[in-house]
Amino acid sequence: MIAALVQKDVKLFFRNQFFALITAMGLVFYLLIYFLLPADVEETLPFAVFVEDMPADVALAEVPLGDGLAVSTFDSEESLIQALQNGDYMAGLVLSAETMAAIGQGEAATLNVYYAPGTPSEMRGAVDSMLGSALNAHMLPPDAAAAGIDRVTEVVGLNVDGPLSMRDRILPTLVLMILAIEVMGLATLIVEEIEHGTAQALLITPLGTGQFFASKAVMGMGLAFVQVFLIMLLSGGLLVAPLLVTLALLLGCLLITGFSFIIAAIARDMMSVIAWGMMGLIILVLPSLAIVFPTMGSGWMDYIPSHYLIDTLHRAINAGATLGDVTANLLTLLVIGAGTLVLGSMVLRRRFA
Amino acid sequence: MNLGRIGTLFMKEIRQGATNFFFIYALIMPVVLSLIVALVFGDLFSETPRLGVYDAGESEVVASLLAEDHIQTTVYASESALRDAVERGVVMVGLVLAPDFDAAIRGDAQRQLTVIYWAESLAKDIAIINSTVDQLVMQAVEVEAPVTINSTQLGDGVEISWTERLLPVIVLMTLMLGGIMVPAASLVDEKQKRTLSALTITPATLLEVYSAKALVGVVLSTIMGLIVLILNNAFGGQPALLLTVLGLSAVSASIFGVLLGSLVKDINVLLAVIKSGALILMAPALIRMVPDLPQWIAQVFPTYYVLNPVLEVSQNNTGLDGIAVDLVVLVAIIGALVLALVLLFERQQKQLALMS
Repeated sequence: MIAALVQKDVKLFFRNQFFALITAMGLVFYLLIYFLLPADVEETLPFAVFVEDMPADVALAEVPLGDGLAVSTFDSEESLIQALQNGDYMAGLVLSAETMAAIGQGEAATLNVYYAPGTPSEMRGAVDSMLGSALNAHMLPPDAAAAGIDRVTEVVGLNVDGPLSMRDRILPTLVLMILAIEVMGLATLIVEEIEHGTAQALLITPLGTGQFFASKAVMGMGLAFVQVFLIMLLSGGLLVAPLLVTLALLLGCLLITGFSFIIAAIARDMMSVIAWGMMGLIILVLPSLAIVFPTMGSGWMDYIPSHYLIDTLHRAINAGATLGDVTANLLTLLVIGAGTLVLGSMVLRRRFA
Repeated sequence: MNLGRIGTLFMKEIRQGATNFFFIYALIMPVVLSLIVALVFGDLFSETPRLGVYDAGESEVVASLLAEDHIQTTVYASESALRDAVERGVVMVGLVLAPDFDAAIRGDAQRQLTVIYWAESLAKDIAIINSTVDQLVMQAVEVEAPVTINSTQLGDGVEISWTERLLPVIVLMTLMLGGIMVPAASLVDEKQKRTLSALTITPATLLEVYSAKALVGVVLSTIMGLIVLILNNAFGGQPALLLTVLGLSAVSASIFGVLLGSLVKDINVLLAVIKSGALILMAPALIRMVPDLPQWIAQVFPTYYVLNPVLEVSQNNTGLDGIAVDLVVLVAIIGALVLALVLLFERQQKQLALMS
């Protein structure tokens, strides 16, 4: 009986070819966003250098310009300035023979640094600081000032090799966006059944409310799962940790199905579903912003249920987490998902009664 | 067409709008977005490296760090709070300054500095933060720097801040929300509740109903467009021209909204269309956000001619001559939309007459 109901809902969904097409197009758009985002991170600043009368026996690597700069050399000052004006580089340094000689002999020197049009003042300050610091440290005696400070370093955070690209960061967010929008879809499906009276009509038949809810849960979870599974498969995220990602996606679908039930229980009509759904969407998406824009991260976001899904996916895809690393997250998702599903079913049952 | 009836229908739309989700959304969302951009997003997209400091003593270096504009420094009350912030990536580098740090850098104590790095930090950000700390330490101990920098900014030195880059998105979203969503959702709602056919049994014609709904969209998006420009300090110096341009942009959006509402059967389909079409509608604003992209691409999208004249007048103080071509294209778009609506309108009037 549950299978028949799910079949009916799926048929209803796909009978509207336009709606089905738009759902498919939505998936394509999400994938498009993913593949349009940069796959690499620019770890260093492209930096142009022209050294006047560079002695043949001096390699540029011997001129200490700082670790954060990716140095390219130019044949003339004019070509360097042209490259800056074309926007190929943000900053460039012209080292005259006198400056090179002064630096070599440890004497005071002034460096001429050019900046491309539109370079923010903060970036100019940053490059000035990097160059000044690197060359001063090179020229000052080892025990002078900052050069002599013993830095005790420690690296914290996820077990990653280096900075993650925006593409890697956004993938869990795209999954969450699809799931959050699906909350509205499933809630709408239930509210429509109540509005049109078909739910009450169905319940007059031998069908029990439990079976009715089970069919809606299967339909909602199935529809959401197919979409997020495809996104993960086509983006390659699934290949990194197939079992763990699939398990997390299933539990994520359970969670959003529970939320859909609660929204359907409190919403009176379609507009009400959208209003509550939008509020839910904003709250559910918040933890993912802390991954895309880490500066927004805050401890209170850990209390939003979707954090456990997004954190699991992020760790599994981007930091090579194992099942043991994210067991607590998955258990929390299971408990909250099942809890919201039961709570939503209870409130909906009272509404039917 | 009776103007009195359009006025009555317009007032009905405004009264009902007070309880309509899309109407409220169109009123609140632009203001909220403007505030978010002003308060958060400028900072969020900033490429300035972020440093966290826990100062167990009272180091003078901390005040110097806070004064630097090329790094963003946050002072934490405890080492654990700093460590948590670095672990989350809220700051890229954390410095733990011992109580005797200033004495240490002057050579009076053990010269040690604990530095916590976020695993995902960029090399350039770490280099900027470390070099800034080194420079400030040198200043604090009054060591004379042998190297000085002479900076030259090429070109006119115009910087495009993220707030400026995001303004087109907010302006276009405001025009689209008020101009497209409100009339379209109202029309779809009337269809679903079957009040549209009921209305046309009265002396009011379908054209008057559509006109009233379009008028609501025009008024709402023009007013909200003005509010958003004022909130973002982008009102410019030509109020009459700006109002005209905003009005024309709002007219095009509203006619498109009515056209969409008349074609779409229910709210689900409308939302699906908006969801899938949003990228196309917003494309000119998104392209403008990335100055490195060839900007001519934006001109392919019709909404470019809705957005560009508004931004040219409000941000660049361009006169009528400078936006004449855009306005001609915009008027042509409005003409095409009206033509499409007239063709559709005749068919729908017949259908409604049959239903009645």
